[in-house]
Amino acid sequence: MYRLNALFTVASTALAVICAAAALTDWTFTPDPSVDLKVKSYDGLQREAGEHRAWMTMQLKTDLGSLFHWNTKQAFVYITAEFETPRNKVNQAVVWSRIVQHQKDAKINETLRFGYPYQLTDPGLSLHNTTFNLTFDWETVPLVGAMRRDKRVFSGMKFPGEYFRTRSIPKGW
Amino acid sequence: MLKSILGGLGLGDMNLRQLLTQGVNLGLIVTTALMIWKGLVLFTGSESPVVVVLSGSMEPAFYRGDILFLNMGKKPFRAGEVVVFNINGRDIPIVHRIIKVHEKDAGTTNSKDVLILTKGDNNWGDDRALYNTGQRWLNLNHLMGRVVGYLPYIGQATIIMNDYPYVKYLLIGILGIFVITSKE
Repeated sequence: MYRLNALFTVASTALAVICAAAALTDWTFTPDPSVDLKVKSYDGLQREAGEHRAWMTMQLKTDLGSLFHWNTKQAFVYITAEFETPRNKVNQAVVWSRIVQHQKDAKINETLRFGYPYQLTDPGLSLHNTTFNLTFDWETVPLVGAMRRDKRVFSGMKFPGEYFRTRSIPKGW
Repeated sequence: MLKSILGGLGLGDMNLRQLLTQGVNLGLIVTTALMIWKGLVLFTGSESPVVVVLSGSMEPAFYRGDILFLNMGKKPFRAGEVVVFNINGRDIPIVHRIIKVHEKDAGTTNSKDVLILTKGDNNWGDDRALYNTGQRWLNLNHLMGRVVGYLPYIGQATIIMNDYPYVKYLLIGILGIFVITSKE
Protein backbone atom coordinates (compact mmCIF):
# COMPACT_ATOMS: atom_id res chain seq x y z
CA MET A 1 0.00 0.00 0.00
CA TYR A 2 2.77 2.43 0.92
CA ARG A 3 4.69 1.43 -2.17
CA LEU A 4 1.61 2.21 -4.27
CA ASN A 5 1.28 5.55 -2.54
CA ALA A 6 4.91 6.41 -3.18
CA LEU A 7 4.63 5.36 -6.82
CA PHE A 8 1.54 7.54 -7.30
CA THR A 9 3.26 10.50 -5.64
CA VAL A 10 6.34 10.21 -7.86
CA ALA A 11 4.23 9.79 -11.00
CA SER A 12 2.02 12.79 -10.31
CA THR A 13 4.99 14.96 -9.34
CA ALA A 14 6.76 14.04 -12.57
CA LEU A 15 3.61 14.84 -14.57
CA ALA A 16 3.23 18.19 -12.82
CA VAL A 17 6.86 19.10 -13.53
CA ILE A 18 6.55 18.15 -17.21
CA CYS A 19 3.34 20.17 -17.55
CA ALA A 20 4.94 23.20 -15.90
CA ALA A 21 7.96 22.89 -18.18
CA ALA A 22 5.73 22.66 -21.26
CA ALA A 23 3.78 25.70 -20.11
CA LEU A 24 7.01 27.65 -19.58
CA THR A 25 8.30 26.95 -23.11
CA ASP A 26 5.32 28.98 -24.39
CA TRP A 27 7.19 32.12 -23.57
CA THR A 28 10.07 31.26 -25.87
CA PHE A 29 7.76 31.54 -28.90
CA THR A 30 6.94 35.02 -30.15
CA PRO A 31 4.08 34.79 -32.64
CA ASP A 32 4.14 37.43 -35.34
CA PRO A 33 1.34 36.77 -37.83
CA SER A 34 0.87 38.92 -40.91
CA VAL A 35 -2.59 40.44 -41.10
CA ASP A 36 -4.30 42.58 -43.69
CA LEU A 37 -7.92 43.55 -43.14
CA LYS A 38 -10.08 46.04 -44.98
CA VAL A 39 -13.69 46.93 -45.61
CA LYS A 40 -14.68 45.86 -49.11
CA SER A 41 -18.13 47.41 -49.10
CA TYR A 42 -20.67 48.90 -46.73
CA ASP A 43 -23.83 46.87 -47.25
CA GLY A 44 -26.43 48.44 -45.03
CA LEU A 45 -27.33 50.58 -42.04
CA GLN A 46 -30.77 50.54 -40.50
CA ARG A 47 -32.74 51.35 -37.39
CA GLU A 48 -34.08 48.27 -35.69
CA ALA A 49 -35.52 47.54 -32.23
CA GLY A 50 -34.28 50.82 -30.79
CA GLU A 51 -30.74 50.36 -32.08
CA HIS A 52 -28.70 51.23 -35.09
CA ARG A 53 -27.41 48.26 -36.99
CA ALA A 54 -24.76 48.20 -39.70
CA TRP A 55 -23.31 45.41 -41.82
CA MET A 56 -20.54 45.20 -44.35
CA THR A 57 -18.25 42.95 -46.34
CA MET A 58 -14.61 42.61 -45.30
CA GLN A 59 -11.49 41.25 -46.94
CA LEU A 60 -9.08 39.36 -44.66
CA LYS A 61 -5.65 38.09 -45.58
CA THR A 62 -3.60 36.53 -42.82
CA ASP A 63 -1.05 33.88 -42.06
CA LEU A 64 -1.33 32.63 -38.49
CA GLY A 65 1.28 29.90 -38.85
CA SER A 66 3.54 31.40 -36.19
CA LEU A 67 0.84 30.96 -33.53
CA PHE A 68 1.20 27.20 -33.72
CA HIS A 69 3.81 25.25 -31.80
CA TRP A 70 3.78 22.06 -29.80
CA ASN A 71 1.82 23.48 -26.87
CA THR A 72 -0.92 25.12 -28.96
CA LYS A 73 -4.34 23.51 -28.81
CA GLN A 74 -6.23 26.07 -30.81
CA ALA A 75 -6.33 29.68 -31.85
CA PHE A 76 -9.56 31.62 -31.56
CA VAL A 77 -9.36 34.46 -34.06
CA TYR A 78 -11.96 37.18 -34.29
CA ILE A 79 -12.67 40.59 -35.73
CA THR A 80 -14.08 43.31 -33.51
CA ALA A 81 -15.58 46.64 -34.53
CA GLU A 82 -14.84 49.37 -31.98
CA PHE A 83 -16.28 52.88 -31.90
CA GLU A 84 -17.13 55.80 -29.65
CA THR A 85 -20.54 57.42 -29.39
CA PRO A 86 -21.98 60.25 -27.28
CA ARG A 87 -23.74 57.70 -25.08
CA ASN A 88 -20.92 55.19 -24.64
CA LYS A 89 -17.19 55.86 -24.68
CA VAL A 90 -16.46 52.24 -25.47
CA ASN A 91 -18.49 50.14 -27.89
CA GLN A 92 -17.22 46.77 -29.05
CA ALA A 93 -18.91 44.16 -31.17
CA VAL A 94 -17.37 40.95 -32.41
CA VAL A 95 -18.47 40.62 -36.04
CA TRP A 96 -16.69 37.45 -37.13
CA SER A 97 -14.74 34.62 -35.51
CA ARG A 98 -13.09 31.34 -36.37
CA ILE A 99 -11.48 28.53 -34.42
CA VAL A 100 -8.23 27.39 -36.04
CA GLN A 101 -6.95 24.06 -34.74
CA HIS A 102 -4.32 23.07 -37.28
CA GLN A 103 -1.41 24.87 -38.80
CA LYS A 104 -2.59 23.89 -42.28
CA ASP A 105 -5.71 26.03 -41.76
CA ALA A 106 -3.68 28.99 -40.59
CA LYS A 107 -3.60 30.79 -43.92
CA ILE A 108 -6.82 32.73 -44.50
CA ASN A 109 -7.54 34.81 -47.58
CA GLU A 110 -11.27 35.31 -47.69
CA THR A 111 -14.11 37.69 -48.22
CA LEU A 112 -16.08 37.79 -44.97
CA ARG A 113 -19.55 38.86 -43.95
CA PHE A 114 -20.82 39.11 -40.39
CA GLY A 115 -21.59 35.60 -39.15
CA TYR A 116 -24.56 34.67 -36.99
CA PRO A 117 -25.12 35.67 -34.19
CA TYR A 118 -22.60 38.44 -34.44
CA GLN A 119 -24.02 41.84 -35.24
CA LEU A 120 -22.82 45.40 -35.09
CA THR A 121 -25.34 47.49 -33.20
CA ASP A 122 -25.44 50.73 -31.25
CA PRO A 123 -28.08 51.30 -28.57
CA GLY A 124 -27.13 54.99 -28.69
CA LEU A 125 -28.52 55.31 -32.27
CA SER A 126 -25.50 57.24 -33.51
CA LEU A 127 -23.70 55.15 -36.10
CA HIS A 128 -24.16 57.76 -38.85
CA ASN A 129 -20.76 59.13 -39.87
CA THR A 130 -19.11 57.60 -36.79
CA THR A 131 -15.51 56.51 -37.25
CA PHE A 132 -14.57 53.02 -36.15
CA ASN A 133 -11.68 50.56 -35.90
CA LEU A 134 -11.62 46.99 -37.02
CA THR A 135 -9.42 44.89 -34.74
CA PHE A 136 -8.10 41.49 -35.64
CA ASP A 137 -7.52 39.56 -32.39
CA TRP A 138 -6.20 36.14 -31.65
CA GLU A 139 -6.23 34.10 -28.46
CA THR A 140 -4.33 30.85 -28.19
CA VAL A 141 -5.42 28.08 -25.84
CA PRO A 142 -2.50 25.83 -24.85
CA LEU A 143 -2.55 22.11 -24.17
CA VAL A 144 -1.54 23.16 -20.67
CA GLY A 145 -0.62 26.57 -19.29
CA ALA A 146 -1.51 30.21 -19.85
CA MET A 147 -3.77 31.60 -22.56
CA ARG A 148 -2.16 34.32 -24.65
CA ARG A 149 -3.67 37.03 -26.79
CA ASP A 150 -2.65 39.84 -29.07
CA LYS A 151 -4.15 41.96 -31.84
CA ARG A 152 -3.71 44.19 -34.87
CA VAL A 153 -5.74 47.37 -35.16
CA PHE A 154 -6.96 48.80 -38.47
CA SER A 155 -8.31 52.26 -37.83
CA GLY A 156 -9.92 55.17 -39.61
CA MET A 157 -13.03 53.54 -41.12
CA LYS A 158 -16.29 55.46 -41.15
CA PHE A 159 -19.93 54.39 -41.23
CA PRO A 160 -22.07 55.92 -44.00
CA GLY A 161 -24.22 58.91 -43.11
CA GLU A 162 -27.65 57.60 -44.09
CA TYR A 163 -29.96 54.61 -43.87
CA PHE A 164 -29.49 52.28 -46.82
CA ARG A 165 -29.33 48.65 -47.84
CA THR A 166 -27.40 47.48 -50.86
CA ARG A 167 -27.12 43.86 -49.70
CA SER A 168 -29.26 41.77 -47.41
CA ILE A 169 -28.23 40.94 -43.87
CA PRO A 170 -26.11 37.75 -43.93
CA LYS A 171 -28.06 34.51 -43.68
CA GLY A 172 -28.62 32.84 -40.33
CA TRP A 173 -30.98 35.48 -38.99
CA MET B 1 -13.43 1.42 24.71
CA LEU B 2 -11.21 3.75 22.63
CA LYS B 3 -8.45 1.20 22.87
CA SER B 4 -10.61 -1.50 21.38
CA ILE B 5 -11.77 0.73 18.48
CA LEU B 6 -8.17 1.66 17.74
CA GLY B 7 -7.22 -1.96 17.96
CA GLY B 8 -9.85 -2.76 15.39
CA LEU B 9 -8.34 -0.17 13.06
CA GLY B 10 -4.87 -1.62 13.51
CA LEU B 11 -3.81 1.26 15.70
CA GLY B 12 -3.49 -0.71 18.89
CA ASP B 13 0.18 0.11 19.36
CA MET B 14 -0.41 3.86 19.32
CA ASN B 15 -0.44 5.90 22.50
CA LEU B 16 -2.50 9.00 23.11
CA ARG B 17 0.40 11.37 22.32
CA GLN B 18 0.92 9.85 18.88
CA LEU B 19 -2.80 9.98 18.21
CA LEU B 20 -2.92 13.67 19.10
CA THR B 21 0.07 14.41 16.87
CA GLN B 22 -1.67 12.74 13.98
CA GLY B 23 -4.79 14.77 14.73
CA VAL B 24 -2.74 17.97 14.62
CA ASN B 25 -1.20 16.84 11.32
CA LEU B 26 -4.64 16.30 9.85
CA GLY B 27 -5.68 19.76 11.04
CA LEU B 28 -2.54 21.25 9.49
CA ILE B 29 -3.33 19.74 6.11
CA VAL B 30 -6.88 21.05 6.17
CA THR B 31 -5.89 24.55 7.27
CA THR B 32 -3.02 24.74 4.77
CA ALA B 33 -5.42 23.89 1.94
CA LEU B 34 -7.80 26.57 3.21
CA MET B 35 -4.96 29.10 3.45
CA ILE B 36 -3.81 28.42 -0.12
CA TRP B 37 -7.37 28.83 -1.40
CA LYS B 38 -7.99 32.07 0.49
CA GLY B 39 -4.56 33.34 -0.57
CA LEU B 40 -5.47 32.69 -4.20
CA VAL B 41 -8.78 34.51 -3.75
CA LEU B 42 -6.89 37.53 -2.38
CA PHE B 43 -4.19 37.37 -5.04
CA THR B 44 -6.43 36.99 -8.08
CA GLY B 45 -9.28 39.18 -6.86
CA SER B 46 -11.75 36.55 -8.04
CA GLU B 47 -14.08 34.94 -5.52
CA SER B 48 -13.44 31.52 -7.04
CA PRO B 49 -9.97 31.52 -8.63
CA VAL B 50 -10.11 27.94 -9.89
CA VAL B 51 -13.17 26.47 -11.60
CA VAL B 52 -14.01 23.17 -13.26
CA VAL B 53 -15.70 23.25 -16.68
CA LEU B 54 -19.10 21.59 -16.36
CA SER B 55 -20.50 21.87 -19.88
CA GLY B 56 -19.40 21.50 -23.48
CA SER B 57 -20.46 24.98 -24.56
CA MET B 58 -16.87 26.18 -25.02
CA GLU B 59 -15.57 23.18 -26.97
CA PRO B 60 -13.10 22.70 -28.53
CA ALA B 61 -11.27 25.14 -26.25
CA PHE B 62 -12.49 23.69 -22.94
CA TYR B 63 -14.04 20.30 -22.32
CA ARG B 64 -16.03 18.98 -19.36
CA GLY B 65 -13.61 18.31 -16.53
CA ASP B 66 -10.91 20.77 -17.54
CA ILE B 67 -9.65 23.22 -14.95
CA LEU B 68 -9.53 26.97 -15.52
CA PHE B 69 -7.62 29.61 -13.59
CA LEU B 70 -9.35 32.94 -13.18
CA ASN B 71 -8.13 36.41 -12.54
CA MET B 72 -10.21 39.52 -11.96
CA GLY B 73 -7.49 42.00 -12.86
CA LYS B 74 -7.72 45.78 -12.95
CA LYS B 75 -8.25 46.07 -16.69
CA PRO B 76 -11.80 46.52 -18.00
CA PHE B 77 -13.47 43.56 -19.70
CA ARG B 78 -13.19 43.60 -23.49
CA ALA B 79 -14.75 41.72 -26.38
CA GLY B 80 -13.20 38.32 -27.07
CA GLU B 81 -12.16 37.56 -23.50
CA VAL B 82 -13.42 34.38 -21.90
CA VAL B 83 -15.15 35.23 -18.63
CA VAL B 84 -16.98 33.46 -15.86
CA PHE B 85 -20.30 34.97 -14.85
CA ASN B 86 -23.14 34.26 -12.50
CA ILE B 87 -26.78 34.88 -13.40
CA ASN B 88 -28.82 36.22 -10.47
CA GLY B 89 -30.68 33.43 -8.69
CA ARG B 90 -28.63 30.60 -10.16
CA ASP B 91 -25.91 28.57 -8.46
CA ILE B 92 -23.72 27.43 -11.31
CA PRO B 93 -21.34 29.94 -12.88
CA ILE B 94 -20.98 29.91 -16.68
CA VAL B 95 -17.76 30.17 -18.71
CA HIS B 96 -18.37 31.98 -22.03
CA ARG B 97 -16.80 34.54 -24.34
CA ILE B 98 -17.69 38.24 -24.50
CA ILE B 99 -19.00 39.27 -27.91
CA LYS B 100 -20.31 42.77 -27.17
CA VAL B 101 -19.31 45.56 -24.82
CA HIS B 102 -20.91 48.96 -24.27
CA GLU B 103 -19.23 51.06 -21.61
CA LYS B 104 -20.40 54.55 -20.65
CA ASP B 105 -16.91 55.71 -19.69
CA ALA B 106 -13.78 53.76 -20.52
CA GLY B 107 -12.89 51.58 -17.53
CA THR B 108 -15.85 52.63 -15.38
CA THR B 109 -16.42 50.57 -12.23
CA ASN B 110 -20.10 51.42 -12.01
CA SER B 111 -21.76 48.07 -12.58
CA LYS B 112 -24.80 49.37 -14.48
CA ASP B 113 -22.69 51.44 -16.89
CA VAL B 114 -21.15 48.33 -18.39
CA LEU B 115 -23.27 46.26 -20.78
CA ILE B 116 -21.86 42.91 -21.83
CA LEU B 117 -23.21 40.16 -24.07
CA THR B 118 -21.67 36.68 -24.12
CA LYS B 119 -21.71 33.55 -26.25
CA GLY B 120 -20.36 30.03 -25.93
CA ASP B 121 -17.93 29.13 -28.73
CA ASN B 122 -19.83 25.91 -29.32
CA ASN B 123 -23.30 27.49 -29.16
CA TRP B 124 -25.14 28.64 -32.23
CA GLY B 125 -26.76 31.74 -30.74
CA ASP B 126 -25.77 34.32 -28.17
CA ASP B 127 -26.52 33.96 -24.44
CA ARG B 128 -29.70 36.06 -24.23
CA ALA B 129 -31.66 32.79 -24.13
CA LEU B 130 -29.58 31.77 -21.11
CA TYR B 131 -30.03 34.96 -19.10
CA ASN B 132 -33.08 35.60 -16.94
CA THR B 133 -36.29 36.46 -18.75
CA GLY B 134 -36.13 40.02 -20.00
CA GLN B 135 -32.44 40.37 -19.20
CA ARG B 136 -30.59 41.59 -22.27
CA TRP B 137 -27.16 42.33 -20.81
CA LEU B 138 -24.70 41.29 -18.15
CA ASN B 139 -23.40 44.03 -15.88
CA LEU B 140 -20.06 44.25 -14.14
CA ASN B 141 -21.38 42.66 -10.94
CA HIS B 142 -22.30 39.46 -12.77
CA LEU B 143 -18.69 38.79 -13.73
CA MET B 144 -16.48 36.65 -11.49
CA GLY B 145 -13.24 36.79 -13.43
CA ARG B 146 -11.54 36.17 -16.74
CA VAL B 147 -9.88 32.93 -17.73
CA VAL B 148 -6.08 33.19 -17.84
CA GLY B 149 -4.83 29.60 -17.50
CA TYR B 150 -5.78 26.10 -18.49
CA LEU B 151 -5.16 22.59 -17.14
CA PRO B 152 -6.85 19.65 -18.88
CA TYR B 153 -8.68 16.65 -17.34
CA ILE B 154 -7.81 17.18 -13.65
CA GLY B 155 -11.30 18.43 -12.83
CA GLN B 156 -12.78 15.14 -13.98
CA ALA B 157 -12.34 13.93 -10.40
CA THR B 158 -14.59 16.75 -9.20
CA ILE B 159 -17.25 15.83 -11.74
CA ILE B 160 -17.18 12.17 -10.69
CA MET B 161 -17.36 13.13 -7.03
CA ASN B 162 -20.29 15.44 -7.78
CA ASP B 163 -22.15 12.81 -9.76
CA TYR B 164 -21.46 10.01 -7.26
CA PRO B 165 -21.19 11.53 -3.76
CA TYR B 166 -20.26 8.23 -2.11
CA VAL B 167 -16.96 8.21 -4.06
CA LYS B 168 -16.18 11.49 -2.30
CA TYR B 169 -16.87 10.07 1.19
CA LEU B 170 -14.89 6.92 0.42
CA LEU B 171 -11.92 8.98 -0.78
CA ILE B 172 -11.99 11.33 2.21
CA GLY B 173 -12.24 8.31 4.51
CA ILE B 174 -9.25 6.55 2.92
CA LEU B 175 -7.15 9.71 2.96
CA GLY B 176 -8.10 10.36 6.57
CA ILE B 177 -7.05 6.83 7.61
CA PHE B 178 -3.80 7.25 5.70
CA VAL B 179 -2.98 10.48 7.52
CA ILE B 180 -3.88 9.08 10.93
CA THR B 181 -2.01 5.78 10.53
CA SER B 182 1.09 7.18 8.80
CA LYS B 183 4.12 7.03 11.08
CA GLU B 184 6.17 10.16 10.41
